[in-house]
Amino acid sequence: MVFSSHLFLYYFLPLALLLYFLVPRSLKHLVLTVLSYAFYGWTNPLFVFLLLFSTAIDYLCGLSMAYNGFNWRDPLPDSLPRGSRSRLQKTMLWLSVLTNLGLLGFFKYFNFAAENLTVLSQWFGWPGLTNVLRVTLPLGISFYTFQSMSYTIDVYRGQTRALRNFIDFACFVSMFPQLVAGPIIRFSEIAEQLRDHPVTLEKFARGVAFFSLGMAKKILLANPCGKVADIAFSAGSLAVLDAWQGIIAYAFQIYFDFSAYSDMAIGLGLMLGFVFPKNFDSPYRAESITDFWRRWHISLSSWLRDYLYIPLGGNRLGTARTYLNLFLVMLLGGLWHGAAWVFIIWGAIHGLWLALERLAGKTSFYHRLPKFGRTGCTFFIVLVAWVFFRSAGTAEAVTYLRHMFGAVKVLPNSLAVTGIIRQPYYLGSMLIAAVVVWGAPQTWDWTRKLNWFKAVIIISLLILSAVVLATQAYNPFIYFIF
Amino acid sequence: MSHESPTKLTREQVAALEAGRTAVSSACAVFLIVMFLLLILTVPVVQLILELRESKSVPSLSLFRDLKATSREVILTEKSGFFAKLFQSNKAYMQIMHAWETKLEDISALGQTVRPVAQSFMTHQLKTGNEQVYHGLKQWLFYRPDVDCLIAPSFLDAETLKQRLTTEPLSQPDPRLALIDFQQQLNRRGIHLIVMPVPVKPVVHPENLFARAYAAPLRNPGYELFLADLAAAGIQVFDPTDLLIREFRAAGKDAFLTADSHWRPEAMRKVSEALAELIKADHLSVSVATHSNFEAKAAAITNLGDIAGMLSLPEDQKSRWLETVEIEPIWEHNNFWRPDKKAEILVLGDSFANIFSLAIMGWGESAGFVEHLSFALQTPLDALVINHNGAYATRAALARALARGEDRLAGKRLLIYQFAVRELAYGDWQLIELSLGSKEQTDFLELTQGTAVTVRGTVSDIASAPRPGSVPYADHIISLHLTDLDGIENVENKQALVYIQSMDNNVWTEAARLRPGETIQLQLEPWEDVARRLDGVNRAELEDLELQLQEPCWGTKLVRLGFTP
Repeated sequence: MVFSSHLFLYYFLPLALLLYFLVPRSLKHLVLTVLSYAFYGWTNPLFVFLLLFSTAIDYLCGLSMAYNGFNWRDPLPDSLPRGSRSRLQKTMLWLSVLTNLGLLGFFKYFNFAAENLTVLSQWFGWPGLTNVLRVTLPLGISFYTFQSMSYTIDVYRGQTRALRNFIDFACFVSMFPQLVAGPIIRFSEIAEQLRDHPVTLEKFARGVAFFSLGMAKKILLANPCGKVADIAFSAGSLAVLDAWQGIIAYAFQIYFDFSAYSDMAIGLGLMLGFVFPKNFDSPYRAESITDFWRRWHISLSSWLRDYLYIPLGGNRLGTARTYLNLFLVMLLGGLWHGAAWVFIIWGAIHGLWLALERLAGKTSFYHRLPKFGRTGCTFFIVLVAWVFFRSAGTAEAVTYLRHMFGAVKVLPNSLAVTGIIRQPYYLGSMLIAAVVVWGAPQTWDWTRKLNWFKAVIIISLLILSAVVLATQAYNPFIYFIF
Repeated sequence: MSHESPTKLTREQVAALEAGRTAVSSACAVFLIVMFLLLILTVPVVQLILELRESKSVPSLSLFRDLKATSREVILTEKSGFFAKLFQSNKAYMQIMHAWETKLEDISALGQTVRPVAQSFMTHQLKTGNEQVYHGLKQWLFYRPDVDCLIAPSFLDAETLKQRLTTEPLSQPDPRLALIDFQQQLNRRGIHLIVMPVPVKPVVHPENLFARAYAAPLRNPGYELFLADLAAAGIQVFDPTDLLIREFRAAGKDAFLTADSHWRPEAMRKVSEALAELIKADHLSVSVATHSNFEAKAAAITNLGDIAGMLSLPEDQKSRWLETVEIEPIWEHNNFWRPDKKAEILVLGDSFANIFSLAIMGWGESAGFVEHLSFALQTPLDALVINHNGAYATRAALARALARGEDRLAGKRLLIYQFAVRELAYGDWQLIELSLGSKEQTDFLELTQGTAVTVRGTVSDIASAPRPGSVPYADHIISLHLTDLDGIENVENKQALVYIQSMDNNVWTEAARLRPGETIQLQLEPWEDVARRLDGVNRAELEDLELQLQEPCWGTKLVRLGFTP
């Protein structure tokens, strides 16, 4: 189910809010969990069992680690002390990690592995893996497995206390506002709130503001920019300027699409009494790639830092290992986004730049340029990397890059592309998007103080988005497929 | 509000501090909340009230009834094991839920009220179209796939063909293979083939899509190779693009309708005359000028273009897109021209042949491409014309007729295969065998001409209908397989292949919502009785090839009786 859909906005959300606020406090988590499972099962009811399985495994592993056994009738111990862990605790950690990674590996990477094995075997003249199983990717599996896994790792590390109540844990993993496209909420970030998350007028009002602004970003900016990107990336021939317009449009689309989802998720969380951390911090204003990753998809980059980069040794094992770790983490971060070579290359580009910037003393090579130049250079690198992220394959990405740099003969039919993407509506949408990206305050800051003027703008944008939504037949979120 | 620098705090602390504490007055907060709740609650409540006032059943609450019925159907009818039943139920649930969500949007009073107004603003103020329409210059509208097929990579590119095979339910995407195979089969019966790819609007009029002047026709990069490969295979191609550019665009005249995806009648007539000249000049062994009873009479007709229809504008604004054209219906002895199955020439065509010919399209009748070709040649023609899916539909219809024992190729010397060039990039080019079968005795219902019966039966299989507004036509017919017939004498244990209208003037009929397992009541009459009027309407056939070969009936007066165990 998509937030910016008729079904969610006018049926699911009113029903969810009504049920949530009608039931007594003791039943709120149960109601929220049932609603979240219904939300998740809407796309494919069978995948609900997968979510339940992943949740149950991590819940049981967490409890076993906390008790260091199976004597669960005893009072729940505090978080584990520092020091070594028992064999059982280690086993439970591995069981949790391997189960989650196993699910992720099978559902997300099986097809990719089979395809590559086929290519490889055909290269050697062996028969390919034809008629092999085709696995359907469950919605949001990358998000909830990471989220759920962080719980067992935190319990193992002694950074958080385990949860005894299964409903509370299931509620944490499945909470519909952030279930399918993040932000990735770590258990430690929300553990306190699971005990008490009062809904206040100001919280709910700010939630409305976040949700409305998120919806406006998605419907009014991401979708028209997405159309420009779709046209450019599906064209056989492109003029240089059109290729640049196409990739800039995609950069705007993915930012507004994903940050809109995060805003809507944060808004819905606030309406239910939960406060989720910030996921975007004006990433296109970054002055280096290192800076970009402090601002883009913060919940993923910090997850990768804490659960992958640091366990790999971080910067503690020497300079060369630090660069390697940075590169590896970004490579895996790319792979996390999708099972395709284009995502791996996207991750590799970012990893390479991060390592190079670390080599240059955590600064960019262009740090002597004025601020405008630093931001521009960073955006340029990000754009080149987005080409791989958006393209259907590596060959298409290379062709698109060649179009961007005028290395391809432009065919006459490219004029039609120019005609379409230069229409005032698309140019106007991109211009507004650019102003918001580089000139407007963030949702987070703008909604910190709400007055009547802002309230009228927020409601007007919500109504306008609802009206435009009624004319759009299809507007999925990009990150739903990851 | 002051607090510590966020950089010294953890992310959750920052979140709690910032998002958890908002400076807002109670009145302002209440205003925001009330307005938000009003918006999200008013829509479903008003919808429910309207539905209750209109009928006893509430479509927006039909989901659970449908899910329950499906569960019962799968559990009762499927003899497979637990997991097979589970997966089958899951698949059915997903279909039902998706269909219900689509229905919710379609029947939404909010959507129906707001959509035309919003679209009007988008069209008139922002000069943009929608998912199906590109808004060009000077009020010109373009059907999106017509433009997309031209700007796409070569449709003959190996990677494109491979990708189409994996992303579309296709068995064969290469038009060259299908056309060469088609020609070989026709040659074996002594029939000459002329392939006629009709240019779509932006090929001829790119200047109305974008401001920059552009002389040459706008082509997909694969088109030249396509022509070369067909020429190498000895297939004659009649491409009217240059003619249309020379005679119309270069002369400052329009070859295409402003708000429709098709050509203007004068352009169509010019093309039919040119083709007639070619046929005569090439001495294609057909007897021409055998008939001199044809007569053309001019008439004016005003209609709304199919692309303008896809914009879903308010009724009062549609007049802006109305166009008046002069058509010339062809008459024969004071009757409209009719195809002649005994003619030596057979034309397979799509909506470019149907426009001005098929009354249901709203641009008049008996004045289309086939009629004018016949008029120009002064000889009768046979025609098999279906509005959409020109790459497949007419070839498949011809193959079905042959397989049924109806030899549509008997006595033919020339076959003209017309389709829109967009089909080269998007069409289903599977190879189709043209073999003559014989009429077999079956237990399928066959009605004598002029009769109509009312029967009850169970829907065993049904083709799917396109979503209104998503296709460039306003009417659609689907096929359904009806079993366990009951209701009149001698129909017990019989079955029927039924054609039934699924979309009427861009609105789904009840038939579009039927599902396998439902019991229905229908009035049936022989398809032959209505074929002249409805054969050209786009139709979705059942996948089962055996079923496709049965004699169809035309179904009307549908009554849904629910699911029976």
